[in-house]
Amino acid sequence: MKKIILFTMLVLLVGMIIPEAVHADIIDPGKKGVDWCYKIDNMQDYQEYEWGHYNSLIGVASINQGECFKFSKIGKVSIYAIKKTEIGENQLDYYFITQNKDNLAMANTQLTAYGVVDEDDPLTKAETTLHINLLEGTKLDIQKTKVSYTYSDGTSEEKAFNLNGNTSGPSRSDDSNRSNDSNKLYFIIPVLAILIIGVIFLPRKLKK
Amino acid sequence: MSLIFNLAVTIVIEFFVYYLFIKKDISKLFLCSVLINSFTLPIATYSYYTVLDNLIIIEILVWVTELFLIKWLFETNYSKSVWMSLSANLITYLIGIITLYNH
Repeated sequence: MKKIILFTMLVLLVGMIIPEAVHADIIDPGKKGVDWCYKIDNMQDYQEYEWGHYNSLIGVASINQGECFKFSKIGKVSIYAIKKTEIGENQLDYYFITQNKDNLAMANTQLTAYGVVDEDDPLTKAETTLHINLLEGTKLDIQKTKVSYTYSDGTSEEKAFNLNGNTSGPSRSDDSNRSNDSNKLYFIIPVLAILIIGVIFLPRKLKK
Repeated sequence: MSLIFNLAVTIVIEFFVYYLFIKKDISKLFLCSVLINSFTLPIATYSYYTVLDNLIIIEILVWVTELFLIKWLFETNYSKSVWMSLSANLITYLIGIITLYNH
């Protein structure tokens, strides 16, 4: 038995160093990721500021002018701006950001990662454009204005966001496939399982 | 439907792994495999898609969760439940990799 376990551990370790292997047993084979990113279209109007995105769990990262940036799915992400004069000689890292929160202009809008789609879905890329409406002191109002969808045949389309920050989604994608919509089964099955575990096994444990 | 398919495959595989360790009470082994995987797999899959795209961390969390469930449901010691959970999840991980390369 130990040999079997050691063998499977070895295979796992090999699997870990093959990049594609990160899509292993819990990944639905019929799904694919979409190349997504965000860009700010008027950063050039605020040259005196340094820009970045802040994630309380992951840390901070800079946003450069004209860059289309992305981030980890974990945690919630907000854009911040800080005057270059406030930074001085300091390193613009997580420690500096957390120590200088009072000087930060943190955006009112939180950003999320794009979900996954079916493997045969023609959507390949989603590029969301953000616009800075207001930056005064520590007040930063950023709005999603449009999203550009690119499809596997090279065509693309743009969809505008409404005032609530919603868009109708890609015309050629089945939006219901997106993980953000979440299939109710992902919640119902675990809840049922834990209830059954409780109902069947808990009384037995209590009797002992 | 892929969730159900993946769940069914995982339940069967982990049942056989449990059987390698505890060769008695087959119906209980199967029921526990159904319940344990029905709890962890949908949450792990959903978490990967929406919260954390690091499969290694998710696998470790699944392993730890399952080892406690195994310990509790099978009334084994910690050492045995650690190995049961580890080998069950390693094998499903391995099959996942093979499946990936065949797609």
